[in-house]
Amino acid sequence: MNENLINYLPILIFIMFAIAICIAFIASAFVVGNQNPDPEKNTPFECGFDVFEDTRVNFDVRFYLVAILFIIFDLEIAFLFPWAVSLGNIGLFGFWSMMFFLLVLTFGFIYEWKKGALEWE
Amino acid sequence: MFTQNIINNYLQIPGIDGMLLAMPEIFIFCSTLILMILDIFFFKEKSFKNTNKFGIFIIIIAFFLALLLPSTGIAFNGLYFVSELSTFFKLIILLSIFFVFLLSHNKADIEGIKFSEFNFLLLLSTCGMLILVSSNSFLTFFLALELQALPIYVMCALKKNDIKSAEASLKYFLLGALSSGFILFGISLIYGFVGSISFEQVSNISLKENMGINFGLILILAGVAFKISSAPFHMWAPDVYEGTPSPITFFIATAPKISILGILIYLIYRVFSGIHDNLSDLIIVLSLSSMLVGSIGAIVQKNLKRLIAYSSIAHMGFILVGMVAFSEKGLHAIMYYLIIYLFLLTGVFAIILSLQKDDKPIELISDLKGLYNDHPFISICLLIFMFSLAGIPPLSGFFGKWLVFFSAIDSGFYILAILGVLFSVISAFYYLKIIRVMFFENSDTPLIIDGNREIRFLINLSLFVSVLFFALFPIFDYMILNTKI
Amino acid sequence: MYYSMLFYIFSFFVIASSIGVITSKNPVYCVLYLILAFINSAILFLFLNAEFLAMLLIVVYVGAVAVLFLFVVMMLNINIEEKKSKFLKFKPLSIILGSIILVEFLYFLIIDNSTLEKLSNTPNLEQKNNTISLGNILYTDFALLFQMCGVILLVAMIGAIVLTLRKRPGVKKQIIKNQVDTKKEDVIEVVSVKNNEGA
Repeated sequence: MNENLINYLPILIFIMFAIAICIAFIASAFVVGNQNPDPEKNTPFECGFDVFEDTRVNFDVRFYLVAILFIIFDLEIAFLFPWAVSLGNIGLFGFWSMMFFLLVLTFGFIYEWKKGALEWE
Repeated sequence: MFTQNIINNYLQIPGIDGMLLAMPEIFIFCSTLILMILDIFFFKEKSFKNTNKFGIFIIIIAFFLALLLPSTGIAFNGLYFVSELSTFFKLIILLSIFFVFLLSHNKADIEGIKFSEFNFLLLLSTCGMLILVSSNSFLTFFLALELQALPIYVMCALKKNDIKSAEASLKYFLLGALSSGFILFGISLIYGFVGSISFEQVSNISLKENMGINFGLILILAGVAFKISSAPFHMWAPDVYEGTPSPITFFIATAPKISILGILIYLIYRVFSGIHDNLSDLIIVLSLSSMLVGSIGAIVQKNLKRLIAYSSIAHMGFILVGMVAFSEKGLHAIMYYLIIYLFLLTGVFAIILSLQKDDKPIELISDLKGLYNDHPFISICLLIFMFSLAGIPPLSGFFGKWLVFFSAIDSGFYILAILGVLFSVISAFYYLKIIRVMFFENSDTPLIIDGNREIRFLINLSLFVSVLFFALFPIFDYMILNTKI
Repeated sequence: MYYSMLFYIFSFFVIASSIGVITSKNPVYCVLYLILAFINSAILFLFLNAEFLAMLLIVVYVGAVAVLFLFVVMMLNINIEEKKSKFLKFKPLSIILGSIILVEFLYFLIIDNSTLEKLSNTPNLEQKNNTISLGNILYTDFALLFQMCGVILLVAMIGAIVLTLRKRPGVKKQIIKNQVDTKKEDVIEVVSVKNNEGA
């Protein structure tokens, strides 16, 4: 057994409790509740009518642009994390290595800002 | 068989000094960053033209940096190496990128790619290619492969609102991602069994009997064959060539394939030279099927760029014959072939780009009807390029094929060489078909030449190289024969 | 005992949810199954002591990529069922090819594994702190690869902008510079209206 995994035991217990409670609620509703199935219960109620079209509407492509730009900076932060942890060991070269990486993405950031990719028309 | 006397051992260059070896890449990348900033702040109206011009300058300077930095060695902690062979490949890649810039200079409007990003993506992709031919570890190999491929996927889709362009981009992207997955899986198998991603450590271990490594190698080879569009992994090529705008088609047909062939040579000749016997069967299959598919498939094509796609599949087959030979001669034959092929494709694409019918770029082979009556000089140029691609004797294409088949015979692959000659005769058929259309058929709507200075220069240059290749032979000999891997 | 049992439970979840991704009819459900697969593989990373990679998988893939997938699914709004019927005609061929590869792998992994000896050992992951050991080499020994990742991210940025950014004509928007620069003379006209002559 792995030493480190013990730390995650509370999370596992939490997940198990969550699943158990979910199942318990659904099952108890199933067992305790009255069940008189009737086809009329599945039809639209009183003045309701069948839907004309799908309720999903097309998203704008701009959401996609924002999401992809978010991912890029998300990854940038993911790279920052181990750097911050081991900054004491990697010396000046490691420091400037990250600075250059950030510089590159900052150039990209200036570019997208000036292009107007962050604006919402 | 293969002699060891062209393989060099290289010194490890530590720290900052190692960066000097990567000067061309670093220069291209840094100047692209500056160019991006210049573009958004200063180039208002002529954004595309200006960035294109700067791109040409950057490529020229990088070309001389690669040429005049003659040092070889291993840098960046064994991740990156420069040899004479990799410098050679860098020079041809930079040359082909230079041609792409010239071809796209005045044609961006009519091809629908007038975005300054075209130039940035082209430069960044060049960076990836240059690192790819210098990679000395599987991780560098994979990342450089992605860096060269990602901008190309975007460039294929640059012609917005054009359904064929979008289709081409999507197909290229999906199949490219699939093949990258293959390569990554192969690399992970090799890492698992060898315990290292460095090319040197892999090449030092005797791998012959280990099935795990052979599996990894097969997967890597399949992924690489996807990228150079060698049959049976060629399916994307005709659609992608047809759908993308012509300057980008030219780009896809030359530079990425040259760079991947460069690293494939390194993998076969140096890294996996211990298991070459297992490898050569696979490459013979790739080579024969590419020649077959390329030669037979092109006969029924009506679209000009689809035909070029099939012909490039066949040419990949011929180049792989040199790879099968696994000798010094084979290596040199591939290098000659790549130079010749680059200049021939440049000529053909320059002519295609300069011709217009009804204010649109030509697409079909039948659009070439009556070319001889309208523009005799252009039609004779195209005739020479077609003859040369088919391998008719005094022209350059003949020398490429001759050297490749000669190296195969030299290493004892007689049947492969004979079949290669047979397929090259079959492929002459469709080149002659184009010639028949442009010389002996007439059309009502005239062809218009919209050639500008750059395109005329490219046509003349490639004409010069294809016709007088035998005279230029000593120069290329000097470049090629002393090259060490 | 518990360790390997948990490992197999979570591996089973990964496979089951991956099958869910490719068989669900509704594309939104596909994405939700994909998220489940990501989370379970993150847990498998934890079993290898690769804590940083596990968290990265959750932050980047579940937090960002899955959301992007949802956007794309919502954006395309295609009728998946119709498309699927076209794929079905290649089903026999793909099953044959897939099973050939599977049989080959199984043959060499299980039946004839004499040729599969490891040539040298990969480092033992249990001994080290994953995040620190990553950080120790990623920014110095592998600096070239790290910078190449940066360039690839830059390419992604440029690509996303050039492909999806469209300026729409006729959109009214607030340009603050113009508002501030506006002079009194440009916008205000002082008219002296005489008595009894105004409209």
